[in-house]
Amino acid sequence: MRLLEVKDLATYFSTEAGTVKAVDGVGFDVGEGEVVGLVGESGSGKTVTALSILRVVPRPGMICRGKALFKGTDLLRKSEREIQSFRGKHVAMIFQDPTTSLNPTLTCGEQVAEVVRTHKKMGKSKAVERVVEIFQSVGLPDAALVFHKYPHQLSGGMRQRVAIARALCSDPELVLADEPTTNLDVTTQAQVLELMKELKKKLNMSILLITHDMGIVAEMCSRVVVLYAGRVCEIGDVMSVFESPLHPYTEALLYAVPSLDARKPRVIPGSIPDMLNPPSGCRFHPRCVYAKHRCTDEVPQLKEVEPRRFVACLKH
Amino acid sequence: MSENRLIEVRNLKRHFPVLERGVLKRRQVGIIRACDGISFTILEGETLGLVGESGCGKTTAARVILGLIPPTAGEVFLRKQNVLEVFSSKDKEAILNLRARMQLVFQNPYASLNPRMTVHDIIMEPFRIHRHVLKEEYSDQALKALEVVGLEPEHAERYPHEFSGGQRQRICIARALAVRPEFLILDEPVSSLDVSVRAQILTLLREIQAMMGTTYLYISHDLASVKFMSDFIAVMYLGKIVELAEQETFFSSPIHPYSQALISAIPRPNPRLEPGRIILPGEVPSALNPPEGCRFHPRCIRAKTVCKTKEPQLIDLGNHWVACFRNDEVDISTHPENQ
Repeated sequence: MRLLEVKDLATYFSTEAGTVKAVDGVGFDVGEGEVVGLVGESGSGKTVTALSILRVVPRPGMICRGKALFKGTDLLRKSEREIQSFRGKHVAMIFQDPTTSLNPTLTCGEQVAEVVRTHKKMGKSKAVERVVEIFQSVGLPDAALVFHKYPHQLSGGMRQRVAIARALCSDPELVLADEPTTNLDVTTQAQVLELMKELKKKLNMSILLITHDMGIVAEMCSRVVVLYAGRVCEIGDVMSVFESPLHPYTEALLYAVPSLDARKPRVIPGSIPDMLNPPSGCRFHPRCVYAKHRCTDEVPQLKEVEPRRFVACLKH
Repeated sequence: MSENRLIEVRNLKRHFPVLERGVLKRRQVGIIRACDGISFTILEGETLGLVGESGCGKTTAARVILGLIPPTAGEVFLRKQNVLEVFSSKDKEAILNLRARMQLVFQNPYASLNPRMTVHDIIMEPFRIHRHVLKEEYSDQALKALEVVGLEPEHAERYPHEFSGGQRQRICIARALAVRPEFLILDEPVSSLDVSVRAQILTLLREIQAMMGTTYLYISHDLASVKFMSDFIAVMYLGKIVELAEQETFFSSPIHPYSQALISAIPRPNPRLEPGRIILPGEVPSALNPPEGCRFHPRCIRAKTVCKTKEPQLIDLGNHWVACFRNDEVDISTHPENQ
């Protein structure tokens, strides 16, 4: 049994303009101690997938079908009350923007202590000790001083460390990290990625790392799930996917990004579809160099073409 | 050689006073040296990539060069013309003429297009302001500009919100190019765009440069795109240029410790690579209180005593400028300029 198994997840947003099928049949799994990359661009559904697992999808979004099995328990079938004992405790989340995800009216120490006391049932002074300890372990200098600072008094990198501390303080088994370094400067990003690697080793956490940056996937993840317009294109171990991508979108994505080592980037024509009116059949077909007529009509199903290697493309 | 120089920036400074909030009087309690004496040259038809993290002063530099904010000190020349002098004069016509020669593409294509104007009007606006083309030709020229950036004539009647980020950025580029500027500053033009779209826009920009011979100042924190776009690269840290070199040289043999850290910090999309990364301790200090001596010294593993008290000057090592007292090839501390 895998730590997390997502099966046929669908989350739709009903708006005045129509229904946005943000996540439309997404399935993948995360094992214990594994770092899985969830890769996609805007409109891919990667953030909504994470929010769905934690049952914090904002209105007008609604989870319409599917399962999110955490150690065999379907999180999507739990009541709001029951889910609270999972949220933050067994499954924690780090959001992209630490400026908006931290409470500006509480000091950093207070808000992390709040989480500790909720999930660990500790007394006040014990909780404070624990928070200072965690602040130190996430590399915050002068942890005791940072305790009393408000988020706005810290730099972006330090805020993100506080957000990481908050996510980890209850010793969750699974962390959903949504673009945790995107808003940070390059050198700060390097620090935070190194920190995450250390913590992962020390605590043997599983991480679902949501990102659009293939470089981060290559460095941090052992497996990768590629999403496009609400659906899964490809799943596999990072080595195989990078060296021989099976899905045309994965291939295009790998070649489209200017990189320090690579030759000229290869342009992908067109743009990401309007999720109010996505293309019929395979959603990538309008931009796909390999597209055939059937790609407009048939929706490709995710097939296991090799052990643990999946692709949703009519080429395979 | 100097006929080739399109842009020359000399010792450009822009400081911002920090004022205390008082009721009766406000006094200056500090000063942010956002841009603290930068100099560079860009040859005609080439691209200088200006790299740095947040707070390094690269956007401030762009705004001063374009006359959007006045300088604290320094000079900027467009060919032989003293740009900052013109911008600070009252000569409206001269200012307008200069503006047509120096344009800008902003980072956020969602905020830099007027949502109440059609694409057609947006691109015609520069024609109406500069009147460098006959009135009868405005519309034709606008459609031509759209074509250059890969948009269709039918797009002209639509409003910005009907376009994707990448398309909007194309509109911004068309607008900037409408007046055929000699110099174009691109301030993080693709940072707000999806990864798969960035290559399209960057490739377009390079094609336009090849076609029109425009000179670019490409500002970004993304070294990979800077590598793709630039002929020369300048690295800024806390208001100063710490290294300036040709693109290939910069990436194959960066000399300044900060440059080396920047390059090594970038995650590579190659799972077989061992990062072997240089992790810089601490964070970028506040520009309100930069460290004494070399501004980078508190985070530098190679810092020695002199670095803590003296500020290194930018020295030419042979078409490769570095501001550092430590250099494996040449002992710069004994260089006369650094005495």
